[in-house]
Amino acid sequence: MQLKRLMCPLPAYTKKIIMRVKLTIILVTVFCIQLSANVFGQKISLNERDASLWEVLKKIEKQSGVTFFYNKRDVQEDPVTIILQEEPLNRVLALLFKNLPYGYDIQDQVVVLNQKEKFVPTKSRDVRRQTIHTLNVEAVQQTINGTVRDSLGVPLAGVTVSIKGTSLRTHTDARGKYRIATPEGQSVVVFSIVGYVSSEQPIGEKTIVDVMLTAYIDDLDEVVVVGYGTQKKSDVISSVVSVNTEDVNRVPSNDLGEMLRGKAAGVYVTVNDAAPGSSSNILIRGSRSLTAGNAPIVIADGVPVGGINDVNPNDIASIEILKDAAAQAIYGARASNGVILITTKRAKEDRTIVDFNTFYGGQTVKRNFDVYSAKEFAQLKREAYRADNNNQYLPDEAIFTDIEREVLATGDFIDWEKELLRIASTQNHNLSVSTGTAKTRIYSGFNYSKRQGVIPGTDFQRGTIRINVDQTITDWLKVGANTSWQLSKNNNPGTGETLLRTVTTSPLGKIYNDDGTYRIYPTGVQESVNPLLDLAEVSNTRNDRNDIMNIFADFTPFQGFRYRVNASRRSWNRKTTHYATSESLQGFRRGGLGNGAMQFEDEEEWQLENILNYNTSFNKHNLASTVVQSISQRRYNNFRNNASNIPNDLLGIWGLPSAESNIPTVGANKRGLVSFVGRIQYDYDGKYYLTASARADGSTVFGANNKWAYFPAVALGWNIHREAFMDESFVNNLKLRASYGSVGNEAINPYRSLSTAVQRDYLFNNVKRIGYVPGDFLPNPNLRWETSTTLNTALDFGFWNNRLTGTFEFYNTRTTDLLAELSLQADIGYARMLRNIGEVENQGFELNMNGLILDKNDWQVNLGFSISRNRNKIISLYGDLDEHGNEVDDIANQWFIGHSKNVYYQYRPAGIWQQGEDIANSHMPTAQPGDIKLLDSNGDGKLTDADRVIVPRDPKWFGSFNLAVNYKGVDLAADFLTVQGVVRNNAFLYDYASGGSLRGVFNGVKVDYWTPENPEGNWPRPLESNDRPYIWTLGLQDASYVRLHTLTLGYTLSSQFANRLKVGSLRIYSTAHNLATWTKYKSYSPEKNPNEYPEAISIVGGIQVGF
Amino acid sequence: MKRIFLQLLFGVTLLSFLSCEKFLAEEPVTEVSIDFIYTTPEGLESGVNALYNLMRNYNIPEGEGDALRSSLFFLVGTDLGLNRTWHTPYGPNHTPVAFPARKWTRGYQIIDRANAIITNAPKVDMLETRRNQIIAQARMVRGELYLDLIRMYDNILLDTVATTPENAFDPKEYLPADPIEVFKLIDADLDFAIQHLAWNVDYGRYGKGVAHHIRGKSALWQKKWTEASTHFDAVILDPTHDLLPREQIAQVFGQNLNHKEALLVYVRDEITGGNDNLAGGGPTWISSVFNSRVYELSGGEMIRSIEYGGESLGWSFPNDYLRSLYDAENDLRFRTYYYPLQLIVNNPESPNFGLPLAPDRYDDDYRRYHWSLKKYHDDEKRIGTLNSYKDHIFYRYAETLLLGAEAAWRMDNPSKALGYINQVRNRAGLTNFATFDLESYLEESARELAFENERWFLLKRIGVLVERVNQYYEMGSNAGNKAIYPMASHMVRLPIPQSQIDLMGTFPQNDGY
Repeated sequence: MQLKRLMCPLPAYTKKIIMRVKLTIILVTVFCIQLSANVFGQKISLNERDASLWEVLKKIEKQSGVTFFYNKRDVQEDPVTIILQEEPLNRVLALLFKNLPYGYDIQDQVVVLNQKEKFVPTKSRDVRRQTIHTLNVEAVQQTINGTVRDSLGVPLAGVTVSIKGTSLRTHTDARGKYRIATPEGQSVVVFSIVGYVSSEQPIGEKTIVDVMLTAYIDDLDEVVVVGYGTQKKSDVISSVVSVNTEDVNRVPSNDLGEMLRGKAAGVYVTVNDAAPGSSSNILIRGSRSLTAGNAPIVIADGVPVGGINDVNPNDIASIEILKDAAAQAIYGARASNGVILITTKRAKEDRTIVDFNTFYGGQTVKRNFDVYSAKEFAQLKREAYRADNNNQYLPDEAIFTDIEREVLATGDFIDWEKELLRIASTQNHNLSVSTGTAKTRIYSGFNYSKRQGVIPGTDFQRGTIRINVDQTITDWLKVGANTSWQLSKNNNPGTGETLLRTVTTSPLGKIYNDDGTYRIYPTGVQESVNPLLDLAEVSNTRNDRNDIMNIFADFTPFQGFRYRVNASRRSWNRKTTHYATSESLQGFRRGGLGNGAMQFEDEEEWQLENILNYNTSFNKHNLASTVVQSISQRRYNNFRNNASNIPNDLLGIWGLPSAESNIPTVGANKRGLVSFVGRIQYDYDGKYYLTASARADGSTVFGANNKWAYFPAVALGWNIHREAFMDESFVNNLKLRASYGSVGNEAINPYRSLSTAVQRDYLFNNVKRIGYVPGDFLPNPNLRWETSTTLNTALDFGFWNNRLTGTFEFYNTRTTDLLAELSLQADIGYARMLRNIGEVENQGFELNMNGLILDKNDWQVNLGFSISRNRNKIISLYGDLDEHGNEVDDIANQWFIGHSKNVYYQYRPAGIWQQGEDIANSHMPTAQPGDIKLLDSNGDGKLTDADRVIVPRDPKWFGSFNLAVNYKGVDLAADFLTVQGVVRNNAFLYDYASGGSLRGVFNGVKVDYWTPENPEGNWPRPLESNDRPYIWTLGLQDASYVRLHTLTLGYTLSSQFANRLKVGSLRIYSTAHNLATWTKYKSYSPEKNPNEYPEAISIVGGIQVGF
Repeated sequence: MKRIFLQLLFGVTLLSFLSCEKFLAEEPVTEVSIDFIYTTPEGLESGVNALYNLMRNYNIPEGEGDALRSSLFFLVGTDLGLNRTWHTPYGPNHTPVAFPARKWTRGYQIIDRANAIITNAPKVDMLETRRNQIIAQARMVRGELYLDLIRMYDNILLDTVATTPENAFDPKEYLPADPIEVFKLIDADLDFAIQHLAWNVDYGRYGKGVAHHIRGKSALWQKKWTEASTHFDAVILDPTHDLLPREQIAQVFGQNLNHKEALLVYVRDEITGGNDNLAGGGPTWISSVFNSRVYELSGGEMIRSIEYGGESLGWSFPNDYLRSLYDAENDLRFRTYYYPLQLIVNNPESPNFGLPLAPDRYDDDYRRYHWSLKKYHDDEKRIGTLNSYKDHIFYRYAETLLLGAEAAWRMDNPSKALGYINQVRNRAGLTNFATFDLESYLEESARELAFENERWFLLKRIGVLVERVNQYYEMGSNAGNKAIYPMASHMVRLPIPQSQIDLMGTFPQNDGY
C-alpha cells in the first residue's frame, strides 16, 4: 500500500492549475525540511488592511510554515483586508479566499493556488465584514476534520478531500489527517485517491469524519517494477506478480522467504532450516535443473544480493516475482529459476514520514508424534531381546543397565522434551525516516531483531541500516545511492544431535551425576549420550557483516531518453568460532581436551551496468526501448583452522595456538558474467502489446568454447476490455497475454570444466609428503549453458468495478542441456561428472482470485485464494534406446523417463509376515514372522530389483486462502496454506540411529509394532541384534498439510485518540504464526524430520506508530 | 551533450568486448591442475604418494558405516568369527543393493589413477631410475588391486586405459574379463615392481618384500606352486624381513609397527590427521569392534579403562572353534593376540579394586563380556572414544612363511614346508609339527593370522570357504541363539554392486544374487 501511495501519479487536479507557479524550488526546500509538523495546528493571527494579496500570503507562510505556489503576475493587485486572531490555517484560508477568484489545494506544507472553476464575484470583496463576526462563522460554515486510512489502518497521505458540488478541496497530510471547511448546506464530502475506491460521506451534524478507503483489489494503474524499468500494471504482458508488502510484513519472522510463503501463486517455499537466523528454500514454478541450482535470483534495486535476507523486509517498497521467460529474459543469465525483484523505499519530494513498528512475542513448538513412555520403552526392549532369544523373555538383569533398572523401580522418568525445549522470545523493532526536498531525498531505515530459539543456546540477532539517497544535480543529471549495512550474530551449538538424542534417549535414566554435573550416559547405555551436555558445553557463534553500496547516475539529456550507469559492490564476511570444551562429549572422547575451529569467509561481488532507455509516442503508438550492458564478478575466500586437543578451556577457541594439532583449510573461487541485452516494448493505444527482447551472456563457469549463450523472448498482449464492444460491460479488466522465450542457468560451481587435483598426502617414515590426485569428479571441458524455454499464456480479469479480480496462467517450460551430475561406471575411474543432457518439462497452471465480498460503511470483507500446480517430467536423458525403442532410464540416479526428476525408487512394503503364512514358498523365503513383507510388484514370485516402484515426491498442488475483515478500526486477517500430495522419507520410522529400527537401544517415534501377541501391528517385530530386513522401506510418509500460517487481529485508534497521544496514527495488533498445522507426518514440521530444528509457533503483539 | 554520451557509451562497450575473453577465462587459485601431476617428475611423485593415501582408505578406512563394513566382512566372516550385530556377514543385507559397493568402485578409481601414472610417466623427461620407482609403485598398486578384485568378485572388468575427459565415453562393451588376462596383468605389474623396488624402504612404502609376497599369492591363485614358492622364498631368504623373536611377540601388534615382521603397514597419526584425506588419516573403529563392554557388566566393578580397550562396540569376537585351536597354557599367541579371560576389577571405588572379578559377574552375552581379540588394541586410545589412530599391519612375514610352507607342500617338498610352518610355531612357544597336512596348516594359519584379512581368501582359494563358514561361523546375540544366517554357496563371490550393474547395463550379476 505504501508503494501505491508513493508511486501514484500526480493527482489530476494539478492539471487544472491555471497559474503555473514558478517559485524557485530552493524556497520550497527551505520551508519543507522539517518533520511533519501539522500545518493545521498552527494558529494564525492577521491584521491586514488593504494589503496586497501576496503580502498577506507571505505573512501566512511565515506564521504557519506553509508555502504558497502561485505566480505573482497572476495574483490580482486589488487590496484585501483580513483581521483575525489565533485561527487555524484552514479557517484563515477559507476566509481569505472566500470571495477571491482563487481556489486552493493544500498538500502537506504546500498550498497551491488555482482559479475557481465557476467563480461568480460576490458584490462585496470586503472580507472584514465576515471576519468581524468571527464568532458567527460557525453558523454559516462548518469545519470538519478527520483521518483517512486504508483497510489495514495505515494512514493515507495525499487523499483528495472535496465537498461535493463545490470546488473546495484539500489533501490529507502524512498522517492521513485533513481539515476542510464546508459551506453551508453542503453535506457530502468525497474522499478519493488513485488506487482506492472513492468514498462519499454525509456530514450531517458531524465535525469529525474518519474514513477508511479500500484499495482496488487489482489496481490497473498500479505501477509494477519489471526488469530495468517500471510499467503500469495494465501494460504488463509478461508474468510478473507483485507481492503485497503489507501482507509480507505481517508475518512475524526474520526470514523473508518464510514471509513470502503463500503470498504468490507458483512460488513454493519450504523450510531449509528453522533455526533462528536460517533461511528458506524458494522454488518458482518447480525445479528444473537436475544438478545446477534451482534457487531464484534476488535482485534488490537492480543489484543481485547474496540472499533474500540481505534486505530488511520493512525497507521494501515492492516485491515482484518474474515467472515467465518474457519477464525474466532481461535477467536471462541467472533467471531460469525465476527472479525476485525487490525495490526498497525511497523518500518523496516534500514529504516527511516517520514510522515506528515494533513487535514482541513468544514461540513454542508442537510435536506431531509420540515417543514411547518409560514403561512402553522397557517393554520394547524386552521384546527386542526376546526375539533374539528364541521367543523367550530374558530376565531384566540381562537386558537393562543398572541405572535403567533403578529408574524403572523408582519411576523417576525423564521427559527429555520438557528438559530441552523452552518458550523462546522473538522481537523486532523498526524505525524508518523518509524525508525529501525537491533536490535531495533521503530514506533511512533502522531495524533490529532478535529471535531466540526454542532450544536453549540458540539465538539470532540482526541489525540493519539502510540509507537511500537521491540527489538532483541539474535538470539532466540525477545521482543516487542505495546503501545497506547489516550485522548479525547467530549462536547455535549444533542442535541436530541434541534433537536426535531428545527423541532417542530413553526416559529410563538420570540427567545428573551425584555432584550435579551432567551424566554423559544418562541411561548407562553408551549409545545414548546426554542431549543436554553439548548444549551447555559447545558454543558456535557466527558473526556476519553484509553491506551493499550501490551508486547510480541518470542522464536525461533529451526528452524520452535516459542513460543510467549503475555500479554496485556487495561484500559479505563471516567469522565463525566453534568450541567444544573439555567437558563436552567431544572433549570427553578426546580425553578431556578442548577442540574447536575458527573460520573466516568473505565474498565480494561487484557489478557495473550501462542502461539506456528511450521512450517515444506518436499518434497512438507507444514505443519503449532498453539496451543494457552488464558485467559482474564474484569472489569467495575461505580460511578455516581446525584446532584439536587444546589443553585447557581458559581461552576457549582463542587458545588454539596451544592446540596439539592445527589443521588449516583454504578455499577460494571466482566467477564472472558479461551480458548484453536489448528490449523493445510497443503498444498501440493501450490495447495491443508486443515486447521482444534478446540477450547474450558469457559466463566463466562453462567450457572454454561454450562460454556464450543467446536468449531471445517475445510477448504479446491484448487489453480486450478497452475495445469498443466491451463498453457498458460489467467487465472492467480483461487481458489476454502470451509469451515465449528462453533463459539460462549457470548455477554450478566454478572450475567444473577444468581438470584439477585434490590433495591427498601421506606419511612416509612419519614425515608428511604431498600427494595430488584427480578427485571424484570427471571434469567436462564441453560444459555449456542449461536453457529453459517457457511458453506462458494468461488471462487477467476484473469484474464489477474490480470487486472480483483474478489471473489464470498456464505455462510449459522445457529445460534442455540439463546440467546433471551423473554417476559413472566405476571403470571410468571417476564417480561423478557434470554433463549437459536431456530435457525436463515443467508444466502447470496458477489461478488466483480475489473478491471484495462485502463493502459497507463499516464493514469490508475480502476473500482470496490461489492454487498452483506444477508437474515435472523427464522427457529425455541420454537418448539411449532399449530393444523396444524406448529410452533407457538412469536407475543409478533415480531418473526415469516420463516421471518427475524427484522420485523415490524402492521396494514397497505390503504388511508384516504372520505366523502360519507359507513364507518358504513366497517371494521372500528367508523371512521370519514379524519381518516386513514387500510387494512383489511384478508378480513373478521372486523378490528382485525389478520389484522396486517409483514414488513421486513433489507436491501435487499447493495453495493459499486468505480472509481479511475490517470493521471500523478493527482488522482481522487469516492466511491458510496447503501443500498436497508431497511424500517425504522419515528416517525416524526405520533408521537405527534415529530410534526407528526397534532395536530396544534407542527410544523413538512410537509405532504399533508386531509381536506374536499383536499380529495386527503394522511395524515389524523388535529385534535387538539387528535392524529387520527392509525396515527402511517404511519411511515414506504423506507430508501434505494445511496450515493456519498467520492470524492477525489489529485495532487502529481513532484519530482523536491518536491525537491525544501526540501521534499521527497508532495501531496495535497481535499476530499468530503457524498457529495450527494439520498433517499426518510424524515430526515437528511436515517439512522437516524430528531431528531438524523445529518450526516455531509464534504469537506476537505489536505496535505501529506514525508521526 | 548527445555526442558525449554516445562516445562514452561506445567506449565502454568496446572496452568490455575487448576484455571479455580474458575476463571469462577460469583460473583456480587453490587447486593445482592435473597437468602438473602427469607432466613433471615432482607431480608424478605426488601422484604416487596420493595412491598410498587412497589405498589406506581402500583397505582400512576411517569411521563406520559401509566403509567399515566392507573391511570387517573379511575380518569376521570366516570360520573363526562370531558376530553379534550390525554388519552381519551373510545376513539379509548380503545383496547387490545393500552390500557395500566401495571395494568395487574405489578399487577401479585407484586403478585409474595408477593407470594414469603408468601411462604418463614414460613421457616425462626424468632420471630413469626415479621414473621406474614411480612406475613400480603404481604398478604395485594396480597389481594388488586387481588381485583383490578378482578374488572377491571372480568376474571383473579389466581396464588399463587412463581416463581423460576425451576418452571417458568411448564405446565399451561391459563383459567379464578373461581371468587369464587379469592374472597376466597382475603378474606383469608385480614383476615390474619386484624388479624396481628396493628391499629397504621408508616405513609405509611398498618394498620388494611385499611385492614378492603378493606376487606369490597371485601364483597360488593360479596354482603355479613353483612360481609361488620362488617368490615366498625370496622374502624368506632376504634378511630384510623376519619374524620377531619369541620374547618380542607382544610387539608384533604393538604400538610401533615399524619392525622386520611387517611387510606393509598403513600408518595413521592424530596430529596430521582427522580424516582419511589428510596425511595422518582419520580414526578407525577397528580396535573397538573386537572389544567387549566390560564397563556395562552389572555391579559397577568395571569402568572404562585403557587396558580393556576403553569405549567398545563388542560387535565381533573369536568363536569357540578358534578357541579350541589354542593350547591356552603354552601358546604365547593366546596371551598376546587376545585379552585375558579373567578381568581385574578396575573401579577404584570398588572394595575389590585390583582383585580378579568374581566369577558370577561375567554376563557373557557377547556384548558386555566375551573372549576378545587384542591384535588391534591401541594403548594410546582414549577411554571415551571408539576412535583409534593406531597403525595397521596389513601384510606380515608370518603369512609369507605360512604361504611359503603351503607352496612347498604343494610342490611335494614337505621338509621345507615344515621348516617354514615350524618357525611360526616355535616363535609361539609350541613344538614342531612332524607332518604337514591341509587341516593342520589351516589350523596353524588360523592361530597365527586370525582376523587379519587373509583367512576368508585362503579358504576361498582352497575351496573350503562355504563349508567351513557354515560349520564354524557364529552369529547371534544373547546367548542361545546362533547361526541364523548360513552362508549360501553363491556368497563365495561378492555381489557386483547393483548401482554398477545398473550403470554398465550389459555386465552380468554373479550367479545366485
